[in-house]
This record gives sequence, structure tokens and C-alpha cells, in this order.
Amino acid sequence: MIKYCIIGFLGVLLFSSCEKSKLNAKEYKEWYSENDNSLESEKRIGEFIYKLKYLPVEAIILEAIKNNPEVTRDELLKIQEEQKDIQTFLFRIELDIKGADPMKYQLKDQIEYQKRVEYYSFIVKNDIFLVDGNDTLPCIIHHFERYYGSAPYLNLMVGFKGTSNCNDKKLIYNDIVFNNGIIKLTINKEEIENIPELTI
Amino acid sequence: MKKTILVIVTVCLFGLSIFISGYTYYSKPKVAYVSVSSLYNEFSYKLEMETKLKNLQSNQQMALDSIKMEMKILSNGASRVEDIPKENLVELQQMQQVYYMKEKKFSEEYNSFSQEYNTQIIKQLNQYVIDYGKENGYDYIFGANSEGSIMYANEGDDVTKEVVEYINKRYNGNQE
Repeated sequence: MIKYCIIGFLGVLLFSSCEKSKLNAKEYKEWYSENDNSLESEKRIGEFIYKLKYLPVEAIILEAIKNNPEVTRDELLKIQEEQKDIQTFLFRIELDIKGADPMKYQLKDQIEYQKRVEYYSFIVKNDIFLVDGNDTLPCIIHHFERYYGSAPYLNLMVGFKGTSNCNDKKLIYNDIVFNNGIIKLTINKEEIENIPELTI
Repeated sequence: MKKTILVIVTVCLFGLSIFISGYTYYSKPKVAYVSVSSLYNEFSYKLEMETKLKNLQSNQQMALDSIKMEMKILSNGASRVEDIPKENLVELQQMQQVYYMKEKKFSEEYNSFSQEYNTQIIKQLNQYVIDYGKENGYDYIFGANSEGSIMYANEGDDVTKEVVEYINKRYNGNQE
């Protein structure tokens, strides 16, 4: 009997540790604008700053609402369903030189520029991994946002398989373009556990 | 009256001495030193790259060994050129050339990777030491090395152990 009670208690404890509070769209928006810093991690190497931001599915849904206020509940549920097996992050490579474009940093010629565009558009995902608990996940989807020199950074939206939220998320990126080597950035599991759920 | 003056003077002198010692303490730059070689050798990134280079070297060696083995088979174990079967001689010479070319290519590849990794290690190491200094309020962190940049320093100012711990934590992306 005592054995079952202990197992039950541990079960409840485990369940409650991963249980999330539920918020509506307005409340969620407020929570996210106040707490999105906790879902970030950054590191400076020389003139470069590498930033990682965890994007919960709810943030992607909010973005869809922001872009189209007329969006229906079914469409939002569809986005939720599509995104539920993907862990999405925003990975930014920022150059800390006023007015500088990282794409043109120490550029030899136009051919090298084209190579960089090609690399970030198609190849970079081979150099990005996510350590999620004991698993090292390859990057399955990525999108390179082009700014054509109007921003001192380059943004990469990267996605990995998996839904387990009760682990630290460590992104590993091998920077072969600026030769800064292996960059590791972690989002602590406590921060991910604290993300509330969005009621649609 | 005299007693009161004496008390006031004593209190003033006491206050002044506290002020002077406080001022001296806080205006003194915060200084520490690290053993550069220990820092470098115990840096996780350096150890990882070392393993990578060792793997590369062993793969290259395996490729060279297999060519060597084929050459041995072709030469039929002969120790002199005259003893090698004539039909194998041309092929053997070609293989020898391939061997030397590959050996040269591998050596260049190894040196290039080694140089690249070293640049990355130094970049990251320097950055993390700067971060450590800033986070812990140091004005200077000197690097003690075998070339004699620091001939003597109090052991109490040696922060090598703390810095090694810090840089490895930072490299591994661990947050505070």
C-alpha cells in the first residue's frame, strides 16, 4: 500500500513539474513580452555576438494572429498541430561594429559573398545541432532571413525534431564562415518548463 | 574640556585612518594572474580539437598504410628493385608516386586544420578571460608563461583554477 502511495506521489510530483499554466491570447502576449528574455542565451566571441532564442509554439501562433487578426480557430489549431513536433529557435549572428554587415565582414570578393549567401541559405543546417537531454538532433528545417546589408546581424530560424520540454536545450553551431569555431548556447530547462500554455 | 577635545581628536584620527585604508584598498587596481599554458591545456575546446586532429591523423595514416600494403603485395616481398617482377614495376612506381602525393596532401591538410583550430581556440580563450575579468571586477589579469612575462607573483593572486573552470563553463554554453 505504502509502495503505491509513494509511486502515486512521485507520479503527481513529476506531472506537476511539467504542468503548465494556461493563458488566453492577450494574457499570453503580456507574459511573453515580459519573459521572452529568459528564453534567450548569448555569447560574444571577438566582434561577434551569437544569440539564441527559444520560440515556443505559442509564440508562433501569436505571430500568426498578429499577421492576420482574422485568422480562424481551426487555422490556429492547424498551425499548432504542424508545429507540435518541431522545436523552433531564432539564432542570430550579430556583428558588433557600427553599420557593419556580417555578410560582408572581411570579404575578399563578390564570389565569397555569393558563397556566404549560398552557405546560409542551404548548407548551414549541416553545422547546427541541438543537444536535447541525451539526444543530439540534426537541424531539420532552417530559414535564412536576408537583410541585404540593412541590419548588423543575420537571422536563422532553425527547427529540430522532438517535443520533450523537460530538458536543457543546447545549440551547437560550428562557425566556419567567421572562423570562430564551435559555439554552444543553452536555454535552461527551468525556463522552458515555465512557459505557459495558450488556450485557443 | 580637555578630555572632550581628546575624545574628538581620537575619533577624528580613527575616522581618518579608516578613510585612508579604505581609499588605499579601493583605489588599488584589482590584479590577478593565470598560467597561460595551464589555461590552454585544460581548455575543453582545445581538448576536443586535439581529439579531432588525432582522429584525422589516424584516418590519414590508415589510408597511407593501405597503399603501403598494396605496394608490398606488388613487390612480392622483394628487398631489391631487381627482384621485383617486371610486370609489377611500372604499377609499383605509380603507386609510390600516389603515396608521396597523398602524404604531402595529408600533411598540408593536417597543418591547415591545426592552424584553423588553434586560431579558434585562442579567439575563444581570450574572450572568456575578458568576460571573467569583467564579471569579477579585475583591472588586470596577467598571463604567466615560460617566456618570463611574470618572474614572481604571490600565489594568492593566481586565479588559473577559477579561470579554467569559468572558461570551460562558458565554452559549454552553461548559463549562470
